Amino acid sequence: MENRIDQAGKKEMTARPVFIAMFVSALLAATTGFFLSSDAITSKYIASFSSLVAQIVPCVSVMAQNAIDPSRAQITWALQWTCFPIILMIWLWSGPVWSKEMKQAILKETSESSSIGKRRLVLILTVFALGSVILSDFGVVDLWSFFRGSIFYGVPSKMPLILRVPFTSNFGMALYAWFVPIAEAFCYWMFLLLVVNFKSYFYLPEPVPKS
Amino acid sequence: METQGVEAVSKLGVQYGLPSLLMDAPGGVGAAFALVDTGIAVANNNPQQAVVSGVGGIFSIGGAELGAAAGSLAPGAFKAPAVAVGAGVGGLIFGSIGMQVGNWINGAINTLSSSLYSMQWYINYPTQYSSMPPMQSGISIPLGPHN
Repeated sequence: MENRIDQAGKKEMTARPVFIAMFVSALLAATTGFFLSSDAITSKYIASFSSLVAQIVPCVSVMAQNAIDPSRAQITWALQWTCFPIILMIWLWSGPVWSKEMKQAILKETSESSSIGKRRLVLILTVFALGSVILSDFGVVDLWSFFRGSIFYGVPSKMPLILRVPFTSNFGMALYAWFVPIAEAFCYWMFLLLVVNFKSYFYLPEPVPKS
Repeated sequence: METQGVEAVSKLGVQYGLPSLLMDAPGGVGAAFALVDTGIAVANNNPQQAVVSGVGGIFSIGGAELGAAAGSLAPGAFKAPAVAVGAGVGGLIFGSIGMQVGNWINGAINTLSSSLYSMQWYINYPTQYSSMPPMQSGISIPLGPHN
């Protein structure tokens, strides 16, 4: 486990592996989004790999169909979605939501910061929002899902700019291809963190004012 | 005294306003997207797109702030990545909801203006209701049966 040992002999959690995973993922997105040669794009093996991922992850086809360079977009999104389970594993490995250290960190952190009312409100809203993302991924409800690409449904030219960006240029496509699987991994990790430690978050006492 | 006050406000704005817009990315980025997009739509005389962009942008600003607040629940070393990614997730989800709301508003405006158009026509030309010409974009007053 990537937890460091501090001077008191306690394990200290670090988010460094998550940052490294994000950085590697960004390098991959930049490589496939900008520097992939046309020979590589038309390669039979790469095309079959991206088609396979597109069959599993509906988001890949949704994004590729509306992109300015569909073949490149399909490869980029497919590769980034391949990173999703790895990034999720790294989130869970470096920040195990079920661990005693995590619970202690939550107790320490939240007892020093926000008020009870605000914390409970944000907690419930977040569990609801992230839960709806996960249920949408599994097709239980038809709301907003990164996995299915339903956040980006609609005619790209009619969307607000923030949702239109991935369709307007290779830069936007690579940027969102990098961000969306990371966002998905975050949703699952954060949801697990809040649900597993719900009691700790909900029943924490009012923060002690600093003297 | 007044000059000092203006200077102090300017200083505060430069010292805290700009960095918070740039560094506190959640609301700042959403606001920039919304402003630029709505501005372009208005300049292109596309009110429907302006409504979608404006409402989508406003929702994405709020969503980014909510997402950042959600991410701040993550403890210790995970707070920084959770706040950053949470803001992005919130911005996208709420931007998507805002786009839908913008479309509903456009639909409501269309329904209302079309009803007003029909009503106006019926009041002006009660006997020629069947020959009402289709409503044209940007014209809310019926031109009459002979135009």
